[in-house]
Amino acid sequence: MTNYVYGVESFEKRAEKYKVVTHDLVRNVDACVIGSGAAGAIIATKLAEAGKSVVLLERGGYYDGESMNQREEDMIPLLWKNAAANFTSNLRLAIAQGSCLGGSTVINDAVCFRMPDLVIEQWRATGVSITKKEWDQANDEVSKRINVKEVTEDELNANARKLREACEKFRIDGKPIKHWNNRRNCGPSFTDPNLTKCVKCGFCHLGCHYDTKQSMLVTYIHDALNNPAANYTAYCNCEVERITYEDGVATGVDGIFRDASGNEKFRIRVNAKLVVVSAGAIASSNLLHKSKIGGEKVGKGLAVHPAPFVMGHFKGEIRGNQGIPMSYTCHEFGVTNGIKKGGFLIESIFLPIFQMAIAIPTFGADHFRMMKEFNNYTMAGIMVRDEPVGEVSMSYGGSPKVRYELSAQTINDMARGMGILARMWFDVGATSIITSHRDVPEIRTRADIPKLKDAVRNSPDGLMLGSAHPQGGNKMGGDENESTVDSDCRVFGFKNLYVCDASVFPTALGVNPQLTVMALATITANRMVKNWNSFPKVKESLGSTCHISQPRFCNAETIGEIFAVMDHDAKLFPKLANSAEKKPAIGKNWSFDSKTLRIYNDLYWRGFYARDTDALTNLLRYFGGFYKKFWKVDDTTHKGITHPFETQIVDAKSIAKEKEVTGFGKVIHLEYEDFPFSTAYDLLKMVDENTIIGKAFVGPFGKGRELFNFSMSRAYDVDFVSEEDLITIFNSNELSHAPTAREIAGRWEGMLVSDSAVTPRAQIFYFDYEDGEIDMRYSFANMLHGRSDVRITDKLFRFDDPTPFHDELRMVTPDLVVGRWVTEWSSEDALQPFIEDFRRILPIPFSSAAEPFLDRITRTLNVRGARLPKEAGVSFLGVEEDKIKGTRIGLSYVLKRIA
Amino acid sequence: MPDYVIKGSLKDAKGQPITNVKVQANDSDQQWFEDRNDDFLGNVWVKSDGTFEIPFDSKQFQEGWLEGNPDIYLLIRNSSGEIVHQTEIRIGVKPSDTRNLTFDIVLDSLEKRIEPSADPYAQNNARVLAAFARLGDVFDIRVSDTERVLKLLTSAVNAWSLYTREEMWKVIKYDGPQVPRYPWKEPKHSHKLGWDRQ
Ligand SMILES: Cc1cc2nc3c(=O)[nH]c(=O)nc-3n(C[C@H](O)[C@H](O)[C@H](O)COP(=O)(O)OP(=O)(O)OC[C@H]3O[C@@H](n4cnc5c(N)ncnc54)[C@H](O)[C@@H]3O)c2cc1C
Repeated sequence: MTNYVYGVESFEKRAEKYKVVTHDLVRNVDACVIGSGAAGAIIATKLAEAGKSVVLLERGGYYDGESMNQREEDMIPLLWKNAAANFTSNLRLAIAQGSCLGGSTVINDAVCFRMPDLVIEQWRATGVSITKKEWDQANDEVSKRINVKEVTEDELNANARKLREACEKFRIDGKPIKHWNNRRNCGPSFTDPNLTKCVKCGFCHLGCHYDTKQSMLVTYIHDALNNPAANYTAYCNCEVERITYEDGVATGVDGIFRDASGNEKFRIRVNAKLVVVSAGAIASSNLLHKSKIGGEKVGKGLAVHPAPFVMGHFKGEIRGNQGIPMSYTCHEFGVTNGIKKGGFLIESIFLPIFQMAIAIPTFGADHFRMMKEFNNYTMAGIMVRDEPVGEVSMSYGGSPKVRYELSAQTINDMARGMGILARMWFDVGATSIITSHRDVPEIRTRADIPKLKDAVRNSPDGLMLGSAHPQGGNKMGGDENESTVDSDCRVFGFKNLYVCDASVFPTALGVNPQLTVMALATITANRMVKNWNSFPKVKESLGSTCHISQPRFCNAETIGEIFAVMDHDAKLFPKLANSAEKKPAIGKNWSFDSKTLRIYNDLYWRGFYARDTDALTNLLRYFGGFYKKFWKVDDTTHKGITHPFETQIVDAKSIAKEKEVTGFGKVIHLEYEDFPFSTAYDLLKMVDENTIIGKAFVGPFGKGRELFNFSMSRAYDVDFVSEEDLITIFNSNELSHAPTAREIAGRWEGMLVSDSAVTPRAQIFYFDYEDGEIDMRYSFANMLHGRSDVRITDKLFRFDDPTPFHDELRMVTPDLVVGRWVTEWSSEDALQPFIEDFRRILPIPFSSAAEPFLDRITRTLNVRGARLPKEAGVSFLGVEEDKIKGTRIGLSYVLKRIA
Repeated sequence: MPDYVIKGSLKDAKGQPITNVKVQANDSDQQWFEDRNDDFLGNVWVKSDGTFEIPFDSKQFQEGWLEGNPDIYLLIRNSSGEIVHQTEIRIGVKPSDTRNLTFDIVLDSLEKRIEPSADPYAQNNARVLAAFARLGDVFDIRVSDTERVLKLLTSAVNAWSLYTREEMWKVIKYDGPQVPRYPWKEPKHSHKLGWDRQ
């Protein structure tokens, strides 16, 4: 079980022991680490080395050196977050991050800068209590493990040497500037003994084929996987969806294994004493948002180190792609030279051809002309230490949405930096300069440099900007009101939940961040081990994974597999019978526990289809729901009916008896009495008092053709609430109440409830409460937006929109609301507004002669007094007859708080 | 009285008996009726010594005049029900044919078998499509200018369609990748760079 990499992809051969996940998983461990990048990998390994059992969950896949083939079209979709289509919400800034086992460290340029002393001091001033000594020790420890060494003379390629030459020539008021070789984490390859140092292929961004880049994949992760004393498992293709918690104690996480298209394959539940979020900047904030942790401050304070580039064009070939892209840096203008606010580093860089083609900001013939000179360019970037002005929020679909506007200081730094770098390239003989500004993509003389700077200052939006260093969002600090985590990286308000990665940086670092992220992870892991006894024991939960005791969470295949090997529990057979009542009676045959959010319903056995999301299962789920109800005849026989929700008048009568059936062993045989149902039969196995799994067949008994697998239950959670359950909760003053404006304030996601199933998110409701006023906005399917009028009395919370329908809400718990979108059916106001709407939308000019005729139609359509039978309420549509309110039709939904 | 008995044993690679697995015997009907279910002949847990016995009756598979003797195969399931092994189909086995009614099976793993994919890059189109769907979810049309979006799209499409192609690399004299497309399939491929070799 342990010390393997797991994933849903199947491969021919892998460098590490690898297994394919074939079913849902539940793990009970000491620590669960989310994200396998610079921070997560180190924390997971250090905890494992300290004797803790560790599960590491990684959204990306596991790719080893042998599968990194230096082709951009192959590697970018595999290794880069969102296949590199990762932008701020206005698409102005491309943000590069890794998403694979090893995180961004697999695709980074391997440059290692120590955290500048100046920044250590600045952070201490904001309440980060980590001493310089601690940083130093951690830096030393990491640097040793990932083999940080200064770039040697033979490792500087022509591009880097040109930058050095330019730095050497450059003078400001006659004074020379500071610049030196980078340090990098490259070293012996564990797969090719002939390779002891960097091969200098130049494909750092596509993963290191040679395993010489000492990324997390080949260092910390490799070490833990191959440490026989460690209890360590890495799960790839596994996206954590939610952290669960109770009263300041994180209880574990729910994750989903996804295939290449992003579809769910399997689920994992990890119950852990310690939960560590190391999903990287942006993703970590998103996970906190999704889990409703940290409140308003989460997502604020994002910095990105925006980095425009400037290229020099030379007569002779440079061949910048040959050799290490990032090996030399000019420090004069940056934090490493004591610049306290803002500033920038000028770093050598060279892009492989596809990335270069995207970076060059011209089109058509111009673009091709510039690309043809690929071998004659030098390139460097201006990496600006920006202010943390960005913000991560949650999109309609739950993804992280990044807003980032350049500050005045950052714009100025970029303009200065680009001007300086252009001068430098001209100094060493460039014939022209290519820039990342779309209005001034090329300049041919020094005299044009001010034009470039002006363009940057006056229209910074014209820059093609990239960032590879998002930082912040879950600020670390001493003040709980401003920061998400304390100096231990522990989330304020939690005993055992940590966030540790680039997202906790309180300001931009000003140097490339990986070594600092790694050092912070080292410090944090040490502190975790020291505090280990303060972590509470948590209870073991199945979450929403498929398990024999909760088959409604299983896919069809797994229900079939369980059915094949599980034995029917014969002593439960007498308990098959349901309550004889027809209506829910709270406390008797029906109950709802508002703490566990579980419903107990003995009116019948609710049928559940598999969780698969193919079209047929979806159709069955929403429109083919059923229940089965049983009455005891004697100890060996039950009478029963199967009732499809959609055809209210049909009840298929049946007899249930236990039998030995070849291939299935002892099962309950459900025989239908009347034609046409009698051509079908079911086999059922009772798992426990409230759980049954079944198979439906058509054909002669014992030889029928299998139709589908299903399960049935008398106890289920609110995520499976039926329309009848919902109305029972809605109408009960014990179980729900009309919320006050203050109670409802927040953001809610809504799921429609049919007779048999609950949809995924269908709408979002926003209730903004300010100065005693409530403002209600809605968004359906992220397409239809609007505002409603809210009316609140002590009995009713109602809001109206321009349709004849209105909404009524009842609050069940502070995070759960049940709602109905209804209208009185038979009254005049039910149809008239629709007709008027229709005439407004389709303003066909009628001659006045036609008017009386139209009036007659309208009057005819006015079905005053007509009653709609309850049976007309199918799937999502509910019909309710109420003495006071008359007949009402409408939809039901549940609202869950998302903020 | 059952007229057939399937017997057999399950062992691991070291010859130790395997327990906690279920053996299901089926009569394959696939030759005759492509789309119908095979008949079940029995389904038993393996005994603690790794052996099993499945008695069955010809009634269980003879429903039409077409079927004479059963075409037997076994499915082995692990304790969670996953099929970990399927035997060959033994055609037209007679009740007296003890050799064909005996299955001695050696299993090296009790995990569900998944065929390895030959091409880890094969699903990249799906990945890119999924990425664009997510991008659509976070893209905010209100704060973006159309010109920029169009330019970005054009340059992405342009770069993807032109500069990932070898012919273009030749035109530009780009060195290109220094390893084969499927490196692990050519274990002896060189780790020397083209320009170092020159
Ligand atoms: C192209 C590029 C070049 C770079 N070059 C350098 C350099 O030369 N020097 C330097 O110092 N820095 C460099 N960096 C930056 C550096 O790599 C990062 O700052 C550092 O890796 C950040 O570490 P992290 O742990 O915060 O996040 P990451 O290393 O990004 O790891 C986060 C991981 O979490 C995973 N994840 C996210 N969400 C979830 C979820 N919900 N469930 C499960 N897993 C999840 C992600 O898939 C990812 O693998 C570069 C970055 C890039 C992209």
